[in-house]
Amino acid sequence: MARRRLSSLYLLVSIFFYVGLVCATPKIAIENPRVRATVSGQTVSGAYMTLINDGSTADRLVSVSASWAGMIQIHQSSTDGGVMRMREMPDGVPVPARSRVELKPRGMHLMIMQLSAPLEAGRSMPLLLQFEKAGTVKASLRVEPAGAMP
Amino acid sequence: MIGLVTILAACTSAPPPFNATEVTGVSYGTELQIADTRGERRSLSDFSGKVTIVFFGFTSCPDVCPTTLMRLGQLRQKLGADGAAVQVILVTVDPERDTASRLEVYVKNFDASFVALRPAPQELESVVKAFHAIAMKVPTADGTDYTIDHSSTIYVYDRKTRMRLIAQPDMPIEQLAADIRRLLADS
Repeated sequence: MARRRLSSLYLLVSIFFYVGLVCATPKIAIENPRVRATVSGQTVSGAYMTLINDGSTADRLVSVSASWAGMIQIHQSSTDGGVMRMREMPDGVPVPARSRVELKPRGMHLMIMQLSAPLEAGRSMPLLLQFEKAGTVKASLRVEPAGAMP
Repeated sequence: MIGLVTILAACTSAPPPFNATEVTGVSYGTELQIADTRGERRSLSDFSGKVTIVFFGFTSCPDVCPTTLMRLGQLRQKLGADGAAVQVILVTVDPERDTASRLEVYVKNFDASFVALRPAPQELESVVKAFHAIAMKVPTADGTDYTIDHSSTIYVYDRKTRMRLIAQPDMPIEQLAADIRRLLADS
């Protein structure tokens, strides 16, 4: 009788533990990841996507890497009194719980630098996104022609 | 009463305002000569007969400059046959990194008709000033590279190379297209 109680307790605790674990780990999904095609001699491009945090815990995109680019930084464009500027976001991008955060033209974007080769329209480029809580999330950037709506 | 108001309105009707900001009495940059990607010095009047759109940018710009060039390309397409009479010119604010050949390939990637002009590094300041614009090198946090803060204004010249409009790049394309059509219709 006592043994049965103990194993039930064990089961209950395990369930709570796993449920707790699942609830605490944010689930990040990446929607519409895309990057602009480049021409030879152009070593920089911009990538955009929507970060979706379906979980109940806030998270933050802290860094991004790829084998085909020497450096990737997170930047914010802004226009202030008719002047365009772009600044790195050293603290990354916060993604609150149950929210969608858009990296889009003239806003936040990934600045892809030191390209090893031009990005050809139609290709898919693998990307690793590092989140504070969710860890490493893989994405595949669709290379869009320069003249297309990004 | 309504009839009276209508008649009055018809009598006093002025042409509707442009969507972009209309400019009169000043014409920026029309006295300048800037080298194109073949090294030939060009002035804006070389493009007279066309409506000319001038924009400052640089090829290491990942976001706003390519987005604007893309939208100007779409604007030309939207104008259909009239698009052939529209000339887009990119003036680089980064002549140190933007060589003539890099600029040529870059603009043509957006639209085969686009032209790029490259002020020599020592000319850049006077070119930017002539457009009442600004361009500033801003080093990156680690100091190894730089970005350039620069005016986002788009300058629009009519077929007689008179500056007529200034616009910001986030203006809806349909609105800018409507303005361009009016300038194209002007003789």
